[in-house]
Amino acid sequence: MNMTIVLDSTFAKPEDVGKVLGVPKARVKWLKRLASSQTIFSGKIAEKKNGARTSASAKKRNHVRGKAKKAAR
Amino acid sequence: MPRATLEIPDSSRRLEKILRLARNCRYSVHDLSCVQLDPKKPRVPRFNMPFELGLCVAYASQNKAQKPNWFVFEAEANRIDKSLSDLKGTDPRIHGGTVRGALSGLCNIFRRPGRQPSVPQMMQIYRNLRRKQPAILKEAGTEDPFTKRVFVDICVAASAEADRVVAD
Repeated sequence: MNMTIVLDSTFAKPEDVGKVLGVPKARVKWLKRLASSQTIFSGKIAEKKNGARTSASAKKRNHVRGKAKKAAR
Repeated sequence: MPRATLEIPDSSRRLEKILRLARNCRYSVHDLSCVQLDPKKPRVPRFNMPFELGLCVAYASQNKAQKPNWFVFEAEANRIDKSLSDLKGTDPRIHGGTVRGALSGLCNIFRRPGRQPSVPQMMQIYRNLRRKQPAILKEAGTEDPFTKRVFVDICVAASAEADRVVAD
């Protein structure tokens, strides 16, 4: 059974998905804002170090660059 | 609109709710690649996925007017012939255990006139969601992505991402 289904429904909007799945409007709004944000930096993922952003994994390996690397030494 | 049995909480009436969910969905997609031994003791295989597939096959066969509307995914070719030989003659979509393979399989099943996301666009949506997953988990107060709240939040966020990434 290797068939293809041609969908006749329209592309669902986040509000439609939220309504069907029972997500409150305020959370849909927050999720839309989250989706439109380009970068998320939380304290756990990265932190500012001497003006340079270094990821958690880079900090462990000391793969930071320039000024930040000197400071780390 | 994606639905999953993750939405159903563990309770005595879980089976009824699964049946209702299956009845309300026009199509069902079943990934049997995770049917393997549970690493935790007692080490038993998880049969939920094949069982749910069986329910959907039975429901589809009862409705003669309806075309078969269930699809099977597997990681390896020929694995299903051994694990579920009753499905011989059914061609499962092989995703090779990769996200790209699963998305490509879905793209081959579902077509839409007009707005149709490509596999690279779907991969972009997936990568963006992966980046935002920690924020969604933090907001839900859990580290487990396989919960109802996280699933529905990811569905809404994916729809918002698709709005942004896939042009009309």
